[in-house]
Amino acid sequence: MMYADVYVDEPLDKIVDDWDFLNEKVLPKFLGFRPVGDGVYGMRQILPEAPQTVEQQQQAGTGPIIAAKHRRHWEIGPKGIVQVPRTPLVAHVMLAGTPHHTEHVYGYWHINDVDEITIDIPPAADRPGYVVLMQGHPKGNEADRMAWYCEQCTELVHMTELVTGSLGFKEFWTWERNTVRTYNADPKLRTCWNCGHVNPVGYLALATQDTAEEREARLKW
Amino acid sequence: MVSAAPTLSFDVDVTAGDGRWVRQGNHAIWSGRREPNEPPYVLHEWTERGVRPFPRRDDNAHMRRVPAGTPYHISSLFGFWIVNDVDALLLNAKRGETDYYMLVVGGRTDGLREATSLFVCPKCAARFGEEKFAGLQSGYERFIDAALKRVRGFNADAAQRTCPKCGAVHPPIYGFHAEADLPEERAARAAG
Repeated sequence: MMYADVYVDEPLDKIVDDWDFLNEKVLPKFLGFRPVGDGVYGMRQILPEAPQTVEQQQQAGTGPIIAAKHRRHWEIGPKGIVQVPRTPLVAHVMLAGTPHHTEHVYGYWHINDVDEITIDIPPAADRPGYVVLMQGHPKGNEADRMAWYCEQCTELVHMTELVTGSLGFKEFWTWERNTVRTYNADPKLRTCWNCGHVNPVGYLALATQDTAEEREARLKW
Repeated sequence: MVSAAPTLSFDVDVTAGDGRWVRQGNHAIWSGRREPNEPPYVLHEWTERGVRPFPRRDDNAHMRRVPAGTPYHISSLFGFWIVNDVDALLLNAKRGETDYYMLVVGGRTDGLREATSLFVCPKCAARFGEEKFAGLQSGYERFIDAALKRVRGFNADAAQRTCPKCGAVHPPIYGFHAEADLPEERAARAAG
């Protein structure tokens, strides 16, 4: 090793906090989304089957967001709604502005002003697999948007925006809860202006806070 | 008038990485692999106290963020050191007997504008020969190409390889793409 003579001779774990995001002691810090440096990171454990109840989720210890091997990921582009396959060790890069939704995980379409990368890490020797999510840390006027598109005709039904760049990512979860609950409480917001269809209620990324109707919606879309 | 649908998303297959950088949106992404008979790629970071290696500890996946502004070098992958203006992330996962790596540079929308190549003395850890490259918007490979030219100039000139602090002469180094190695660079890469 060329630099062996000038190595810092202290155990790595003593001098660099959280140096390995995938270390089992560090992973729990990323079960939501955690801003670190120029990025915001999230880790989701891949389970063989999606927990169907909050109790199962708590038992599985998957944290605030359900992750499952067979969930489907959707994006909206020029060709309409398309399913994006999940393949282990294939990084999927979503450029800013792409509406995306992962069924059973969050009941709305998320639109970032920064790019987002998702990669599935297959199970290792003695560890389960993980989904790693990384996106740029929003700055200035960069925002997150939550949108609902009509399930019948794909027209935009409702959308709200949070300027996470100036307000900080910590505001995301409160905004998400308020937005979803407002949308769910008002059938007018869920009624498509184009075709008149009344769309189903949304749900939070935090499954443990589901109301009865949100839990039911989570299992459907 | 020619128009095309915008690219909204794309995939980078880490298991089939061709070793080239993909520069699109807010990130530059590279992926590669190492077989059991090849030395692993090992991340090294420069600190005020010396060089800190981040070797693989077990067969589990690892992910390390290299903060913007931190000089880093990945042994067997590139022999010089890099400073990015935005965070870099090295992901390493094993599948079967093969080690897969993905290096992601970027995040902020106003980052990934410039990168610096430099050298670090293996005897005293002094940094020297720093050269900034602006223009990453047009592709990360342009920086890699420029760095290879620097590597060749460095190897050809003992004066450039002499540490300004301790006077030790730095051994020859290698560029990013192994397939472009000259014999001297190939030997340096093999030596780690």
